[in-house]
Amino acid sequence: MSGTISNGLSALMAAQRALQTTSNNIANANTAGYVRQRIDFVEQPGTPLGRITIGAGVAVADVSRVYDQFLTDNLRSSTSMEQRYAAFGTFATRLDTILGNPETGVSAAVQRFFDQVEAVGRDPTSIAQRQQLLLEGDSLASRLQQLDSQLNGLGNEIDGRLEKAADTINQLAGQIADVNAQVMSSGNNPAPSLLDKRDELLKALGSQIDVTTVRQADGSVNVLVGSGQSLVLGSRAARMATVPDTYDGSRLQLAIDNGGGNLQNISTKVNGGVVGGLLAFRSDVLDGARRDIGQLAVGLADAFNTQHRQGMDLQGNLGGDFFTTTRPLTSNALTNTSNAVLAADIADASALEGHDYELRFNGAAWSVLDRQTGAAVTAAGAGTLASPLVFAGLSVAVSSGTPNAGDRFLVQPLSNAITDFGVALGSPVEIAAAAPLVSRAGDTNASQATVSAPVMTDVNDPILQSVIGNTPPVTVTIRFDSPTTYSVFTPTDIVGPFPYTSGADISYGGLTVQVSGAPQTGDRFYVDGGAAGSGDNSNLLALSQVAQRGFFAGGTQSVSDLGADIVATVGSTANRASNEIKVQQALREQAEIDLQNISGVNLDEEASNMLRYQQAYLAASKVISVADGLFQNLLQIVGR
Amino acid sequence: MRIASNVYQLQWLSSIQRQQAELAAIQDQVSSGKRISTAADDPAGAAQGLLLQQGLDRLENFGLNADTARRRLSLEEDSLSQTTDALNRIRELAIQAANGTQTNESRGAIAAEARELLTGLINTANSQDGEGRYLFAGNLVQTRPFVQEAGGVSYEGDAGVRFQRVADARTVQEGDPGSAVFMQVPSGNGAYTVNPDTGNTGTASWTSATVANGTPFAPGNYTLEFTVIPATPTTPEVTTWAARSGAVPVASGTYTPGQTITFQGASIEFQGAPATGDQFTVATSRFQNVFRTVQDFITTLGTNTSSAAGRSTFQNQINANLQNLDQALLHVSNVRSQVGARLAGIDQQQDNNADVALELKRSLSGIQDLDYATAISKLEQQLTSLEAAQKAYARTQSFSLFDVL
Repeated sequence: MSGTISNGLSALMAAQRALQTTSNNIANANTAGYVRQRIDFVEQPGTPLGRITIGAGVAVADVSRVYDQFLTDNLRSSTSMEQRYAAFGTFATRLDTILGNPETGVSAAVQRFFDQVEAVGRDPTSIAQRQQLLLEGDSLASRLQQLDSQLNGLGNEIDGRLEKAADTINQLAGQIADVNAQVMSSGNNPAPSLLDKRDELLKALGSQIDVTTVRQADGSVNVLVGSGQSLVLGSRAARMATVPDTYDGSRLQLAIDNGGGNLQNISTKVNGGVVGGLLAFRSDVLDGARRDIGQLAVGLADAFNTQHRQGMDLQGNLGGDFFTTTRPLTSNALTNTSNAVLAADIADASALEGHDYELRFNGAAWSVLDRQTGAAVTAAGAGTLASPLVFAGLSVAVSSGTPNAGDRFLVQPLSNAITDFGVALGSPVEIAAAAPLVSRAGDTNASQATVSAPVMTDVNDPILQSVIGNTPPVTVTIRFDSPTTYSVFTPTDIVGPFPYTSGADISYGGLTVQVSGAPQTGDRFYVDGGAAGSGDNSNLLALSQVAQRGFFAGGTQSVSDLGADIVATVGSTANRASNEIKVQQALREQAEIDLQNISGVNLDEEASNMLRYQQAYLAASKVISVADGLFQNLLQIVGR
Repeated sequence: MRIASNVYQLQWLSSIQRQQAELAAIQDQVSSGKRISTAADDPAGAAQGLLLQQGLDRLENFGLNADTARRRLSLEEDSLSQTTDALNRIRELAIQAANGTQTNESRGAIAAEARELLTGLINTANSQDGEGRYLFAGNLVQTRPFVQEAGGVSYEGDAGVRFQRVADARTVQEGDPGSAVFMQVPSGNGAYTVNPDTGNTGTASWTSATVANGTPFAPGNYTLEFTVIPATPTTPEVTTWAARSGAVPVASGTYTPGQTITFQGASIEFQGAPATGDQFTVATSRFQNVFRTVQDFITTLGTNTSSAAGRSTFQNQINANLQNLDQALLHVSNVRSQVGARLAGIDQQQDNNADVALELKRSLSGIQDLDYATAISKLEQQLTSLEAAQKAYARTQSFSLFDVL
């Protein structure tokens, strides 16, 4: 009888616990990170009565979390990747808005400048049109600078976000360490809510940075970041912080305290989470976009200047540089032991590749490393001013100090390209619109032979220089000593006679010209420097083609092609990022659903359990009631 | 399979969000009419569109360049037409003056008209375009090119020519320097000139000078000298001619008035009777400016024709003047036809450019512009599936075991 009562009681208690567990599941159905709990019953061993053993009721064996380690880890890592691409994509979209809009991007500004080059070509002596060309040059420069500062702004924002991320990571790491401590102190029976909380914290940490977790026998979880640096070790959390870049103090990198108080840069080892996305965007996209714009500016300035120097300005002087050009930025590594300084120059703008280079000195020789491809670059020269290192369109030499073995330097050819870009000319008359040389046939020539427009072949030839812009100007005369021979002379020099062929090149003093026809003895042809105030536009015709001419990549890519490439690059980056976000989002959602399907609460299931345990409770009550009835009956019988 | 209750909501929410994002994108396209708003929408298309747009901008520049060239060439054409008119009038005057009935006085009146015409010619040669730039100064567009001085008209411009780009690979010369138009007119018949020696005493004059059929004139400086061998009792008087280059004889023969003398590719018809030692210089044609030709004609008009020698001098000179005037007219008309050809070239190029522009615009529109039919039907489809998702969620969520407990 007492066995029946105690069995009934044990069933009553078990049903009560089960109802509590079910109600807890129902209560937490919408709690983030909650893992549903399941009650496990076990039958009580009975007391043997001779040959038979009667059972002794039921007991609650365990309230366990319905949990899958693999799915939890999967959700954390897919959240980490989703956050990486979300952060990357946000910035890629903003870059696309800045550079990828056809109406406000680089190409539109370049096109406007060249429109004005054409306008000057239509009326080359108009000061108003020339002035407008200088203004368009200025506004091209300021547009480029504006774009560059917007890109720079993105870089600063990334620095700020890295700092914030480091704070968040430290907070989360601290909390995880606290939970570890509690779990370790609770022996083998940690509260389920504690484990739920730790999984939530790990997921939050994963959305900041990709982590590896290692479960320990004592129930604690160790967290590793980067290439295996421990962020959480048992109940102890390491500190993360931002540190200045080795070469560029204004840019921040993510570092971790490696235990000895030293901060170790792990930027290149971080892949996932917000931090991974920010770092990847900065190194793979933002830096590249800035270098591309820089390359466009350097290429445009170089190509335009080269052609501009072939012309003559309104005052009769040879053209100078139209645009100011940049010098590559060189920086020393913070770890250098010497005070040696490198100076770099652009030797050939068309050979620039838009990369940065790291130079290392081993005490005897230099090695050059391409920072974008990671490949070694072959460089000719010894790195001295007399024999500079020459590679990828650059010429680099030690300008002061003596480098020590192990010193490293960074050369960024295009870093300052935009800041230094501007119009070099001070006055509209200095625009070299005209060809610098003119030719004419003598007025008294005894024939109708003609002379072609002269071409400059060597601007440094002293004779050519005395012809252009000299006071008084020197005239080069071609005189026919007979119908078949000619001599060429200036007041101080004479060469010839040479045999004459109609239409053949006559080269002298850095210029080339052709005479055609049947000249007679005594006929003269003259080459003079162009006069001041010339309305010639031949150099402008050439200048207007500069943006279309092949320049980069061995003459296969023009400035205008590069402009279109920049748009295509930022566009496809943003496009790829947004596709990647969709993929990662789907993966994360699937991971979440998979996990929820195991660990989440199904209310219908709980409702049926509730019914089940309610019935069990009622049944157990009935058992007690029946046992009680039997007992009462017995008492009545005995009492009679 | 077990499904957690909040998975319904999770799945529904993400599907609704995806559909709403796509809906927003289509809505954005429909409202802007553009398929590409930034490069991310279609990176390759955006880059291609950029290059096409640049092509269109360049075509627009070519159009402006062509308009400028056309304006200047039309002005040049006007000036050349005026020049031709003036030269034609002067030529009429020359033919009139060559008529034997004219007297010294009547030629004076012709000279007065010719002087007026010369002034007009110089003014025309100094024409300006609407912007105050001289049309015929070469590249020295701010310098008045033709200045009348004591020794004649001098050219102050240069020989520069200017081009305008009207297509990527085509430039059009937008003018001719005054030196080429007015100064470099071949003298004589274009190949050579015939000039009587000033010391000639006979009455011989040349009436036509051409290049012999099939033989080009051999450039050089020749002296043609006549010798009269007086009659002897046995022989009649004979006139001989000998041509030499410097001291080197090149040809010789006998002469009767009206005969054409041919040597070294030159064919010259003479009239009248030369005296012994009378010489004519036959020299490679050189450039003579239009103003000098007219001035020479005015000078010729002042020749006193009272004597027979004077008459033959006048005749020789007026012949030379007429030849030079013909050359000037021919030369100006050549320049005019070149100007006409350039104008036609510009028109033809602009037609081409318009075709290219149309093609570029069509391609650009294909890349950038939205296909409304497709977009609207996609919009409808998207709305329908969104509605379906909402209804499905509402239905599934309305069933719960708790409802029936």
